[in-house]
Amino acid sequence: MSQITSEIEKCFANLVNNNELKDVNERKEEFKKFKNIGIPNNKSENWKYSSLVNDINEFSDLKITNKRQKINFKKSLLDLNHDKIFLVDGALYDAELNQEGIKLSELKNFKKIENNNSLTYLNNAFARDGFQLEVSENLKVKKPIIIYNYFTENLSPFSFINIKNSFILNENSELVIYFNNIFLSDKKYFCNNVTNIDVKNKAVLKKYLSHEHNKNSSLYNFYNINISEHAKFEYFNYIQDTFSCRDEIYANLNGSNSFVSLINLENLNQNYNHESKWIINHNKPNTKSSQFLKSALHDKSSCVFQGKIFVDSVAQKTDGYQLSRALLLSDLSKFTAKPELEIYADDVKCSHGSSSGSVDEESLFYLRSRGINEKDAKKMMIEGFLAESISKITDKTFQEIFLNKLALSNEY
Amino acid sequence: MSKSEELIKKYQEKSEYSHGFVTDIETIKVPKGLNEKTIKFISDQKKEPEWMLKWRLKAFERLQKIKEPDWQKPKYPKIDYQDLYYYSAPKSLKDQPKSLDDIDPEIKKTYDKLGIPLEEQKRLSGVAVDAVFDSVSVATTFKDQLKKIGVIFCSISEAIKEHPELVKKYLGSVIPITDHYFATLNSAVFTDGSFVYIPPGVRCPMELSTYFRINASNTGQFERTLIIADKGSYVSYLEGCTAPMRDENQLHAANVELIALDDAEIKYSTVQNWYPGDKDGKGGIYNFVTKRGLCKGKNSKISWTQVETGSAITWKYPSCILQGDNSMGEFYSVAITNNFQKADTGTKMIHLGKNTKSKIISKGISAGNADNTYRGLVSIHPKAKGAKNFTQCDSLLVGNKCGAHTIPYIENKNSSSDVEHEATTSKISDDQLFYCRQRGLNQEESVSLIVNGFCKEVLQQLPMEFAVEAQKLVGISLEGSVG
Repeated sequence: MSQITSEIEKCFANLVNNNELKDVNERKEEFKKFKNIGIPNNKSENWKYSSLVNDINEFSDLKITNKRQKINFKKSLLDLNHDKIFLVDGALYDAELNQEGIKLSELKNFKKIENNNSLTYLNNAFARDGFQLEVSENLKVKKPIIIYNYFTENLSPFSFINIKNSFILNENSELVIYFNNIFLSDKKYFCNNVTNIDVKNKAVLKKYLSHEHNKNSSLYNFYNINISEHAKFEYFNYIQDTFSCRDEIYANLNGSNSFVSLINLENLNQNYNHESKWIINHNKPNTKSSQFLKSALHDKSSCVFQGKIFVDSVAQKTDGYQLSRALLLSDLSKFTAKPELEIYADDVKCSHGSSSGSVDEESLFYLRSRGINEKDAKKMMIEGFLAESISKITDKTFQEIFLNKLALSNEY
Repeated sequence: MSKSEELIKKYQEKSEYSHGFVTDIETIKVPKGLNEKTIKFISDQKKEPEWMLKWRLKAFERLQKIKEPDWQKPKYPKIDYQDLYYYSAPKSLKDQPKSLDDIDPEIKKTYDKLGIPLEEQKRLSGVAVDAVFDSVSVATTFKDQLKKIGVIFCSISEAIKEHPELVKKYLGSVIPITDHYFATLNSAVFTDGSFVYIPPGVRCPMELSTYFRINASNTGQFERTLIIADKGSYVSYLEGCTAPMRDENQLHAANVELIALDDAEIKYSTVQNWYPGDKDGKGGIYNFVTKRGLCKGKNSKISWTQVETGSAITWKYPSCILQGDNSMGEFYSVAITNNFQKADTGTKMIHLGKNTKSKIISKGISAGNADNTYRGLVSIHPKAKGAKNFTQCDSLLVGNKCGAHTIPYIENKNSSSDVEHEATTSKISDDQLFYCRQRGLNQEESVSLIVNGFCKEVLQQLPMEFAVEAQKLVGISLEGSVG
């Protein structure tokens, strides 16, 4: 057993002895499953290129955080009419919800997410902070909800945070969420975040995230998404300079005519890195999916992409699309991709593409011949390259917000 | 019985393995089991020098420490390595034949049935054949003609004795004994195979060819092929495989090593038609082969072309290590799986040198209950400035009980390189079928035509002799899959 695994075991035993956990028997069961596998390492196929696991394996003197600091900076970051939810170090802190039909509650009890993955077992065993957001039937929520997630200075080094959130969109409802991660702390900590999303029949959920300037923390975000008949789920993640982060998304298209769209924009400098693992399961006929990733890699940064389209033998007329593209802007940057297809039905249209390379010299020449200096020309090209991700967003307001963000981020 | 069922039955009967016959000749076998004694026996039988035996034993020593890999998609029942024969040679071959006339008439008949009459081929096609019957090389034709221009084309056991300096230098230089389980197993117990050396500046005037054939039951076949193309030379090598019908599964774990020095080019073509098992998935060959080429010199080129229609399980990744600057690797593959066949195949392109280029075209076709996987790696190392890769994998599904999978790995660590990958999965469209049927072709002919069109890019890479056979095989392999 690795050192980190035995430390985690100690933490768990402490929590159990102090009676701090509800549903302790179920949690023990999950912990046992975690212990059988342990903290993953690069030897297992699933984590082969992961630098996140290397970072976690170096942790020592773990601390389980439960006390949250009081914050007094509940400000709106955007000039936009919206509802707010405030999280501190991942846990629910406060909310300003002025629309009817939206139910927000704390999630302290044991909630099991099935996935054969040691970190989700770990989350099942530990998680006791989190929230559930439910939108009632036929409600088209007018104002977007912005979730401000502050990682505060108060966190002690080597904190170990387990959060579980849940989103339920009942039949025929609609909602736009923007999950804004704000990193105020430069300390080293590990946040294991598991999210369960249910999009019921004919419901539409658009979830946008931003994840910027995280200097030292390791984040693992796991999503289990169930999409029913005629329902739609859209996901966009704006990633700028994250120290070590892995997003793992399992999207299950469980009803016919359902649709899922996953979009990533990654702009990484220095030695920052980001990993994505996206699995789309087409379980019913006439389902559609799209995966789109664009990554600009400067300096020593790296991007790992593992995308998979799985088509069950009953899922005829599936339309699956996947594209991952990276711009390598330095000799030390790295792009690793594993775009997978696993198909058991014959009447399907599935394609994937992946490319990586440098800035096109000819286009650069074109811009320079029109009097633009090299630096600006390059900037324009990178911006244009990344902006294609943003153009895939269907919500016009947020499209603009992210375009502005991108324009500002490249001011160097 | 409905009309379509009748049609299926008819074709299934027709398409049953026509190469499935057993040649009844006496063979010498070493007792079953994988141990030092067996290895010493093999080495002794082949009158090998001391260094060769030491090399084998070193591989065996390592073999005991490592585990069989299990990450592949097609799973198979555990192989009992102690229950296999590791050496089997036709008895009448104890004294090697001196010319084609000395060949055992039984063996000759077998080759005739397979459609490679040695004499015919010798006269008509100008193909020099090094035929491997089970483990011992039966006859090597055209050897003398090749000798005149300095080309060495012989069995590997002969090369160990006659050209030890070359074998010592290159054997294991691309697939070392410290490689994965099956490659190491082969290093320990390999029985025979082909050896080719093309001297500097020589363009080999004919296509060299080996015809492997597993005959005795319960024997694993472990050949080792070593091809060296010296500076500025060119060679095209063909390999064809067939095995008789057996109920039990047989293991085939060969190693093929290619080395291309400066400006040299090697073209390696395979038509693999091992016994695929019957309609219910019983029997068939496990084809776990390691093939690897090293573009050692500048401007060298290695090209793999494979047509995989047989075997119960095909599990292999012919690869290229592009070490020399400006070197080039190519991989063209057609993998057809029908009934219960499974294939997990692809390639690895390791770009180390500057301006290295690679191209991968893979076509997978699955029908019946088969499973077809493309798995590949394109790795651009930091020093491979200006490297380029293009990959295209297309899959075609016939029926809704089969599977097609694509698992490419792409690692790009150089900013001046370009890597492109694209893949599609589709089925034979009703429009295409209708068009062909309308022009008077029947269902089977239409499917065969469409599939041949789908694989055209790969099939046209094959040398003439093989292209015809491969096209026929494509048709035969899919018979009975469309009702």
